[in-house]
Amino acid sequence: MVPGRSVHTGAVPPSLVARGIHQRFGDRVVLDGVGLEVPPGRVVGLLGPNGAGKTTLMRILFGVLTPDTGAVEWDGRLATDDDRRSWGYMPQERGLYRDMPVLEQLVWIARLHGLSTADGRARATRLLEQLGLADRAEDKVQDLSGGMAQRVQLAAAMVHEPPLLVLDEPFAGLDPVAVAFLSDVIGEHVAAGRNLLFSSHQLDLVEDLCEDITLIDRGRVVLSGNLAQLRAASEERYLRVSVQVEDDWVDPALATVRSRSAAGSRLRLAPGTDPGAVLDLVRAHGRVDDFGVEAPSLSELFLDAAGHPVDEPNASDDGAEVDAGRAP
Amino acid sequence: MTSWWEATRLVAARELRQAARSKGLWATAIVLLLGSAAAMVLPDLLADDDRDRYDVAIVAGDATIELDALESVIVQIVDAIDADVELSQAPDVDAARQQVLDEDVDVAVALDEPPVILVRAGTFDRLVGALRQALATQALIDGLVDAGLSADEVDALLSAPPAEVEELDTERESRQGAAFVLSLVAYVLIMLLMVAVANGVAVEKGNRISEVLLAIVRPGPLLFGKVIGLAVVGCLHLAAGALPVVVKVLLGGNLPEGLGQAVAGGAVWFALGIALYLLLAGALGALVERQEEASSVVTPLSFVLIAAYFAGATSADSPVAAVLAYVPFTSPMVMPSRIAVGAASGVEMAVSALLSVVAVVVAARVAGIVYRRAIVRTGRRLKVRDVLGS
Repeated sequence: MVPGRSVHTGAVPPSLVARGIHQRFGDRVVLDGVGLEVPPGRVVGLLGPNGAGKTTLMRILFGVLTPDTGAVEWDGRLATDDDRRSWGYMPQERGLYRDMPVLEQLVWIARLHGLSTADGRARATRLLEQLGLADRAEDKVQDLSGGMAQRVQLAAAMVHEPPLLVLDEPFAGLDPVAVAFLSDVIGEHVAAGRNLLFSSHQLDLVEDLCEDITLIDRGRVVLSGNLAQLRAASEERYLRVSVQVEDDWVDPALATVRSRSAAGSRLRLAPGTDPGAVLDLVRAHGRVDDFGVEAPSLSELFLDAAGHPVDEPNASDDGAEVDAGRAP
Repeated sequence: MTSWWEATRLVAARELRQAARSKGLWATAIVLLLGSAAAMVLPDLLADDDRDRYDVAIVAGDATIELDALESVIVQIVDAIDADVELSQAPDVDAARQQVLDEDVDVAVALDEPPVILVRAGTFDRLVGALRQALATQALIDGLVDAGLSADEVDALLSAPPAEVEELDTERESRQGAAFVLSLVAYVLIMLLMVAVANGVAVEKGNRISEVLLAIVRPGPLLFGKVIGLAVVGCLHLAAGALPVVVKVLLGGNLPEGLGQAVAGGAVWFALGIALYLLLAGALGALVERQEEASSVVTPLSFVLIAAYFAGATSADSPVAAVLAYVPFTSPMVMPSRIAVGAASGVEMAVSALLSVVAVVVAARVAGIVYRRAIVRTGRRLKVRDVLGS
């Protein structure tokens, strides 16, 4: 069981499961019983502030680091090295040969994955087209902008069409165009029924992308599950209507009026309440010209679960996290 | 999923392809080729086939000596020292002295009693010796004629065949030269390749390429592929340098004594030495992640290599070298040199090669462990002890 609050749809069994991951570097506990589930066909976000332990967890998933305790499972059994090498990994810090042409580098990586040169070239070419880099295929990586290099890095992670794609902070430092390209490719990947996990500390940026989330703070999972359900289960969900709502219009078990103003009323919805049902109760008393549901943002969910804002970095920053492999 | 070997091959092939793109590496190969070609061709071109040619002035003076006969003897004796002589007459000693000082002639001979040879101090020693001998010979001929011998009898006496010179231990110098050249080539090549491997590994670590690649392939192929790729690049450089030597041999040219055997026999140690040093250099390169740290991290290996080089280049047949021939770190440079000077026995070669193979196997394992553990530990320079102890 994943520590922290957890809501799961349970519809599709997860392909990737991490259980009870503990990792300590010297005296510093970096991961404290962290669990994670990645079902196929869904965009899963591993979210939390810098230094929360996201990169360390991803390195453990890939076997780059061996955790002190805990297990990583794939398709219901312990993940093997061969499983891991079939996945695609885009690390936080970009890793490409700067002096190698883009297409050649992608074909080479595809061949390392066991593809033929022809297949590797075909897939790499298609990916470059999808990522808007078809005309830069023969350029060296060092001649590309940061955003372009990032897209090439993504192509390198998925040129072999991996069953699981793991992206560590894929949106860090990207311009909106690159974010859009990345989001499209990610969407296509999961639409094909494959698995995707990405990490980010920019919760507002990935608000619309995540379907499932695992919020991690100071090495512990503080919230995880289906984002829509987590929002529905939140105590910080409001229905805004353009009428002055009296206290007795709505069953307090469903919603309570939190504020009234000239513009209307703001009702706090009880966890799990259907906002439509509350709206119907209000409409029974008067005409509603304008209304809206204010679900908590990812940042608010994090604040609620962790007790501090996400932009308040943890004691150890991400630099230390990158550094995490270091011996004590 | 690729096999271990296929991954190693792909990594090595990438190194080769990148090397082929590097203008610097092509420039090095061309310099080596041209330098080697020059070393093969120039000595023959510059070989001094022309005989020395001397100008000698003779002051006849009041001497009773027969001038034509003397000139004939001078020409003969100077010819014996592989030189030609142009004889001229000077009116008097002062004029001859001035001609010598003005370097109009090399030497002047005044036929006084006794004759005087005029020469600027410290020059034309061989010519002076030849002239003294010619004067003495002419005096002897005159004496023999005076004593009643006929001209034919004198000629017969003087035409006795000259002594033959037998040079001893002529091969030693060329064998020592071959040993020196081999040690130098091995030293330079291994040193350059060590730095290249350490540098390549460190840069990949610094650029986080290794993290991407480690998610795809095992650490072994990454390290071994790089070592093999760069070693092949190094050997191709070596081949560029060796090509003129081979061409010269095919065209019937002469090589220094011992070089051929030493190259053929030494190739084994050469390959083993490259494997040993480069594997360790790769592991050491994984301890750092900046290019400028890469050459310093292989410094301890460099010291060992330098010591091995001096042992191989300078005293290949010494007792110390006999011991170092068994040490895997020194045998790559000492052994070919010992083969060159003919100091290596068959047993020594077999034992030394075996020890080197064992050392390479052990080095591959240790280097693999250090590389695997160090390559993901970024942020600061690591120590081998930290890595092995973790």
